[in-house]
Amino acid sequence: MLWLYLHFPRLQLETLYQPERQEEGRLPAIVVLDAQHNRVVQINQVASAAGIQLGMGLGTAASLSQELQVVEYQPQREATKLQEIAHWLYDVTADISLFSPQGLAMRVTPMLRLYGDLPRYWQAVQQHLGRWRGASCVSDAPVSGLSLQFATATTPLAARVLARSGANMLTDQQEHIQAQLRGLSIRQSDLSTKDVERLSRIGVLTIGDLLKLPLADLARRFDIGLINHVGRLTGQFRHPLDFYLPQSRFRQSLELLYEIDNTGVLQHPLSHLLDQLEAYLRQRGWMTERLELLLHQRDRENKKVSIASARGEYQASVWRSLAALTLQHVSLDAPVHSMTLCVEQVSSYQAEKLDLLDGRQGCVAAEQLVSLLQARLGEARVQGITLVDDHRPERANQRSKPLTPAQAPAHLNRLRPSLMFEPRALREKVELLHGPERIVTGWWDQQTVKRDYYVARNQAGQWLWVFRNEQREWFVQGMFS
Amino acid sequence: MNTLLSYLENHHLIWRGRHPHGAADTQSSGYAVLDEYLQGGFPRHDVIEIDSPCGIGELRLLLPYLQQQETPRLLVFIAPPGLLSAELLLAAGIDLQQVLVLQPESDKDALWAAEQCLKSGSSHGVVMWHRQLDVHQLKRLQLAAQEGRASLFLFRTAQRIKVSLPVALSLQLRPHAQGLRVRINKRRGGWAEQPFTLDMSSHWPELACAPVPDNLLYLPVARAI
Repeated sequence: MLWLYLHFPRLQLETLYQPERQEEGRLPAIVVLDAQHNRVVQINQVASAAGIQLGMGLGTAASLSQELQVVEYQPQREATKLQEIAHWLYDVTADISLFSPQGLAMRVTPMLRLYGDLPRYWQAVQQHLGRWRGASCVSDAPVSGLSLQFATATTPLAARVLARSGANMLTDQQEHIQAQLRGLSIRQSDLSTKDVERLSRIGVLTIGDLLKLPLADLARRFDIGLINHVGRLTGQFRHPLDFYLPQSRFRQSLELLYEIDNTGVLQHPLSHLLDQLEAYLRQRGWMTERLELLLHQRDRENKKVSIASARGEYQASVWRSLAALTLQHVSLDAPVHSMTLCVEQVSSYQAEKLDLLDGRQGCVAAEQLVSLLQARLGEARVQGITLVDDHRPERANQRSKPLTPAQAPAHLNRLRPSLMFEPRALREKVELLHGPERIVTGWWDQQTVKRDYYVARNQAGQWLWVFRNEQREWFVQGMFS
Repeated sequence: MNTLLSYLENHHLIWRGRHPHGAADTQSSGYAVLDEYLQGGFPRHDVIEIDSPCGIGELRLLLPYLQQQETPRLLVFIAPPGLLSAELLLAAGIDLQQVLVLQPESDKDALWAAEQCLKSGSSHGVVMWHRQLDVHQLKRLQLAAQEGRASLFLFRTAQRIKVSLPVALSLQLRPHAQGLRVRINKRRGGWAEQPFTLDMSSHWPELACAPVPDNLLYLPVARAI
């Protein structure tokens, strides 16, 4: 069984979001600092050019570069990103096992039946990874903005050890792999520091030295952890692994390098996420009607923004403009340090049918127009109208969700005013022209109406719809405009 | 010579008397009298300004026009001064599913919404109640109307009209017992006409006073009542 292991040594650094690709000279030196051990664990090229090295303390690093940007190392963020990468790679390869927070092991042998041979498989993986848009522009790695170390081996652990040593080898030759592995120092073997020290004290300095010792002898001197490790390295023991299973929903987050307190500026990183969403939905032939955007605010609760499209959409460009309109109305309580985009419901994509010959020039469907209007004006301000079977005029006319099919009305021959309002007292002299039309109803739901309606015309020539109630008070309720 | 003529023609430098420049693209308003005065009907895909007090029949004037359309497209009402009645629209033969009512917060939003609706191509008519409009805003709306092949009816009230706008058609409506008193203030390729009475009693028999016979003399006492 052949395994391929991908190691992302600078995952957190390279998935930080930075607004613009800046010129090489202006890119700040960024280091990721493990605060607990005061060690620099990831650096970008500018930082390394300044002389900063991995493992330095913060004081040393800061003294080497004035404009040093320090980001705290957070393994759980890397783990989330790793999940996203696994999800992305799931399109080209089947069995992926996560070695959180920085590595992925992929079972190659079954995939060779699909791809033919190892170079072709590797090409597919590499190209697909190159299209991953989750990385930012901070890095200087050529492909997809992620620096990558890889290796193949017959066991996942051996592949991991080789990849982490920077072997970058792609071969299915047993001897070659073995030779490479045996040449590695015992320090690179992924064993605990304690075991490494004990082994080097008995003269075991390379992995080759270690593998020469019979397992039974090792078991007498060392604990079971080491035996398991060696057994898994050589393939004598089974290495139980959990394989990645993709979730059927989209959830991506993005950490910002700078905190943002202006919703206008948020659109830029958001469009990054929307691009990923488009790729995700397009591959599956899906679209969605609603996006949930979580803005993680500093020291405050997360702000939830939902962006809706009545038609259902997958294209990032459309979502971008809807998001821009929606975000205009969002006010932030505190600066945002990261954001998450989730999609709860998807449906299969349906292309819009347009008539080629009817000469329409605009190209926005009615549903798209409605979503656009709702995004800017608010959903309550964009409505359709519908007729409910009720004799009370104020109940018969109701606002409804736009574009919902109307029910067939029971009575239609009544003359009704075109504009209605809340009944207000009649305070002018009118001439009654038609009527009365008596409406007595609603005794069953405590909203009894007993009214005589008339069509009236006032001195100004306006056609009014007036009524008289039981107390002989007169009201105006509408206008025949 | 020919090029010179067409140059002059294109720059509207030739006065053609009563003949309009080219065939204006119009659509019947649904009222024969009005069509005659407008030489065909309302201009298509343009902005029509209507100066009218509220409640005299101004919306009813448009309903026959708004009802006729080949493919179902949206009809958008922006900022109506009351709750629009579904019954009346249904009675006029308008599909309620295709009706949108927008109540924007500000004038700016209203204009934006009107422009979006017009240029989207998915609406065939927009009826907007609006206060003050500048020439450049009107130009934008006109372009949007042409782009999306839609008509915009703009209701304004006399007090608010300050500037004269370069609209395709400007009508002034005044109340009348049998219908409306219509005055064509401005019409592209035409002349302002004398005011005329548009009898709408055949469309809306209940909303017309019985004509007063001219051979009738009221007794002074009877009139006082």
